[in-house]
Amino acid sequence: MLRDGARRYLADDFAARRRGGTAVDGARWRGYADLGWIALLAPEDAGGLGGSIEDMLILAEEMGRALSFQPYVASAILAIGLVDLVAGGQQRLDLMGAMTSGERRFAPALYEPGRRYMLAPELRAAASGAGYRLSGAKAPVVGGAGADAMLVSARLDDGAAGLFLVPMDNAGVFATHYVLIDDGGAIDARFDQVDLGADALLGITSVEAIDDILDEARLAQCADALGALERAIEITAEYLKTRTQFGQPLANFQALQHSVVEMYIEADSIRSSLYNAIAAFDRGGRAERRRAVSSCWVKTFDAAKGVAGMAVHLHGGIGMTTEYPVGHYLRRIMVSERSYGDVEHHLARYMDPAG
Amino acid sequence: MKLALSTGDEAFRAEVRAFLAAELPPEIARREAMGFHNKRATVHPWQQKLYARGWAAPNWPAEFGGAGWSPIQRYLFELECGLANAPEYSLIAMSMAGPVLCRFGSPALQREFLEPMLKGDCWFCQGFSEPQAGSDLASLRTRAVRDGDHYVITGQKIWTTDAHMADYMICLARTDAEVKPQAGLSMIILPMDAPGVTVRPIDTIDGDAHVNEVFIEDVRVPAHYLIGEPNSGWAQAKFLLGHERTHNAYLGMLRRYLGRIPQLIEGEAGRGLPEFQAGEYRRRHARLAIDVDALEWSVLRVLAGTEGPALGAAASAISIRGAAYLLRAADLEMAILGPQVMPRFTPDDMGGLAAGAPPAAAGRTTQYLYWWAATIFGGSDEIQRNIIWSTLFR
Repeated sequence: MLRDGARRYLADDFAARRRGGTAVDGARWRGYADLGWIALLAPEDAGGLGGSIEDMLILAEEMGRALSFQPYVASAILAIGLVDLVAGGQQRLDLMGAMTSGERRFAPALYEPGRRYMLAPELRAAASGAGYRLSGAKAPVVGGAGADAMLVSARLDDGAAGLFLVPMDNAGVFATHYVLIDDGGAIDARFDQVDLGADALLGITSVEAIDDILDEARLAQCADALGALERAIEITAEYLKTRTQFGQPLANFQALQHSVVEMYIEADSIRSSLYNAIAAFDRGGRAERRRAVSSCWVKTFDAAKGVAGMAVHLHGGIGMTTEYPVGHYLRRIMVSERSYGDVEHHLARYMDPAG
Repeated sequence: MKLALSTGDEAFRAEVRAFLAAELPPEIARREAMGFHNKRATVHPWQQKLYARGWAAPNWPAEFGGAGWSPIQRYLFELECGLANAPEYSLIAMSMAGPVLCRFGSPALQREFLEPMLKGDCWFCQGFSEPQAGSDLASLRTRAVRDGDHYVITGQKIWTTDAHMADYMICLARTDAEVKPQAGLSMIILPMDAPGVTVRPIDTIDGDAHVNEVFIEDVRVPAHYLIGEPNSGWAQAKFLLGHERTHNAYLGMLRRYLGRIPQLIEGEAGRGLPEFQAGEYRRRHARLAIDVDALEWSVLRVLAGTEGPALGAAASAISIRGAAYLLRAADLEMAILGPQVMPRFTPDDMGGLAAGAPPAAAGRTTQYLYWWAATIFGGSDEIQRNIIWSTLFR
């Protein structure tokens, strides 16, 4: 039911983009919130629906399928996870309420320029008066365009990692906006002596805890890619049945049938890898969970770009055009595959899940 | 088989290398290295330097102003240009329209077009593919009907590279609808500024504007613009294919990638790329280099003429491998640069560079996406496989 409703609602997303919609559309985001898609992820004691990880992944899959360009993984899944990790008391309730209602949208800012996927922050948060002074940089901040605030990881004076809520329009915050390959929006952010009150520090945490929260976002990114691939395969099969060359539909040629079947086999095994990871999430055990998430990432992104590229290839020239959807799946995967680690990063984590 | 470069070839190679080092303007090389299609105006000064040197047309016979090189020399020139980030000037004019005119054109057509092409004053596009005639090229519908001293051409072309900046098209059109499809085609030169020609750019996923739709409505072209005898277009197209047998290996481009990748790995090793990962990328680079070495020998075997009846199959295998290796090379570059290739770079403002990405990142995703087109154009991988089967095994 969740899947059917999501598919119906999201059907407009690609059409809206072709009409020239901007990367982030506040009204659309509030539409997601009104459907409960953001509250789904929040715990029940904070006004959320406390949905299952399966529900979350169904939505992510449908968003990949629909080429949604709202930053759902970053600003819903990851942002809610991070706030829930560190914030407490009334502040936690207020922030959850603002996020789940769609009133405010936050963009996690965890990665730093020249530090690839390292999560230990170099951005400094020095104690200053009653609050903190932030200096450093974050990049890329996916979903940063149009966000109300960033969730910034920073190194405190004692070396601990803290998460700060930093409004985009705070003095000393300089954002460089750019468009991603998949039409999403991101920013690079520079923090030049950004003075914040004590309440901007949502809480103190650890790099390991942040990495654990990221695992939900990673699975969602895999599910998004799976949805994208499955739709790209459907579109390709449909196209081959309608395109006529040499006096017959291309779908009559066994070589092309087999190419589509190979793509299906890859996507289907990604689905199984995703289910394997979900099972590990349910069973608990940190090392087991980390291992299963990284295995799903490697399984997904070892194959995804090649499958999406074959979908373009089998279309011929039309697959290369932006008017036609199939090439957009390839571009989406080129962003996803390096969003929260890359294949080699996750291969290393798989081999040493406790590390 | 033993095949080594002669002393003369080695000397030639050194001469080409020295010329490129001295004469190629750094700004042209910089733009070319990014991988966006060069603009006509950008490349023009380079073509003039080549013209002054007598190297404007590597693929033409010397009597028409070509370089008059041996196949091995042409190949070495392409290789060195690739390594030096030298652009190709109007591939269609120099490697397709030019050779066809040299071989089949009337003296009048040769006088009118060849010299301006050499000087870089005449840019061509190639009008072969149509909406309903892609892999099945022989089913094309554009027709040219004789009317006194003219042909009247009507039809539509698609995926026409460079049409937006070309002066002329070599247009494949049907001049006889009564015979079997391949037998009724002719090649005719179509001025792009003629009344009735409309060019509409096609926006492609790689983000680099280069292909177009061309609508041709009752365009009158002087009858002597038809190349050779009427209805000999299919044979001319096959000649072109044969002429370009080894170009689809993209060896110059592949050598450019192989030279650049170790630099990218070492650069990123100082910017957060973990050592185990750098090691993995060095091994991927080595595997690619091994494959490219073998591809190079495949090209040399074709150039040495040792392939006999298997020639067509060898060329098709080279084409499939060339595109596959380009994709691997571009994918490896993206992997090395990691999150820095997530922004969309554009040829004009270089998009994400403003956001602090290293200059090496610009153009990497554009090229990767474009190489998927290389598995399609000039005969898709599937068509090439059919050629290999029917040449060797049927």
